[in-house]
Amino acid sequence: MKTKLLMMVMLLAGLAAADRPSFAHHGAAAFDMTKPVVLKNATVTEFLWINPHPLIKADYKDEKGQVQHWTMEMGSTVSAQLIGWTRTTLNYGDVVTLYVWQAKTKVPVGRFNKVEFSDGTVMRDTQTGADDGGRADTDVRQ
Amino acid sequence: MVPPMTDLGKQLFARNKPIGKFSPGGTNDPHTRYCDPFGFPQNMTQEIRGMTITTLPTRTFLLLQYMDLWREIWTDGRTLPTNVGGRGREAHDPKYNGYSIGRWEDDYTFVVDTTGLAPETWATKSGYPHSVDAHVVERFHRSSKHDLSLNITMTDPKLYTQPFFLGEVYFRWVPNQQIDDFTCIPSEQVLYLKEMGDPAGSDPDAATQGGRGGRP
Repeated sequence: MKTKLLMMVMLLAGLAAADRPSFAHHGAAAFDMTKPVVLKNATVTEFLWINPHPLIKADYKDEKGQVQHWTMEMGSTVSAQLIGWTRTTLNYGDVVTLYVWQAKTKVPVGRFNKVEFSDGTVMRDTQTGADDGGRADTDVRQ
Repeated sequence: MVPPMTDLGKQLFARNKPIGKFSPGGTNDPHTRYCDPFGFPQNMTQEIRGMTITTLPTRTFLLLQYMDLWREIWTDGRTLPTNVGGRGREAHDPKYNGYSIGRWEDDYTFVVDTTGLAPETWATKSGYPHSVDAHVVERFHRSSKHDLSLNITMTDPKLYTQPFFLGEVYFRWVPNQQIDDFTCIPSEQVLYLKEMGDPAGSDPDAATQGGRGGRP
């Protein structure tokens, strides 16, 4: 009888650990979370659906006409799936506007915030997708 | 709450640079840099995602989504080994998940005792260490049909002067949930660190746990 109580149940974990960090996988200490950089009309060059974090790579032409090669990370594949992302949400050649929390080192890498597609739809990151950099999977619905 | 550490505990803790402060580019967390196993007990407070529990007559298995990990808990009345990592034929080797035995405290509470942990792993994401002789007690309590809580406490006198409460994890039963892949894959981690983690760098202002500056 006792063994039946827990036999083959599948559970999803929530955590209240003693030294819980602010983000599930790693902190945002490396990124400037005060204001996202906006990459208007950037061209997606690669969307890597990998663990621990999917990567978006995109080329952005700045006001001087110089092309910047950006790389930005998302939350995780399994959490992004829960708010509608798939490995084909972004594709090579897509022209989109990307919002990204840039690394404090000022290199063209950062933590992804949100993407605006040409038809006006918006997809956000799970952990830093809200406009204030907070979680978007709990407090923003679009 | 982290208990006071012994001198050895302080030494081991001071050399660890956790990801929360140092980011993927500056941490020396072996899981972040190389996908090395978290080891127990960190793997019961970190990531986890989904968990399946299944039983045999003499064993209970915990199957974790993150890292496709399984733990073996003996319920045949055996005792824990006492000479893990020691010399001699009877000595056992340390293991990432250690050696676990379980017993039912009442109809809804399953208590697991574990020792013999691989000492190179971190007890927590924040870099708190453990020794091979750490004794960890997990209390799984089913509070309702769909709710399970897990309390974890570690006693490790070589490194801590009091028991270390590692946290409480809550599990919600989602019937018929299908679990997707979620694992640290070394080749993907190498790609991630090359393209993203290392260029982003470490927070220059982060302090180490020993109070030193954070620049690598």
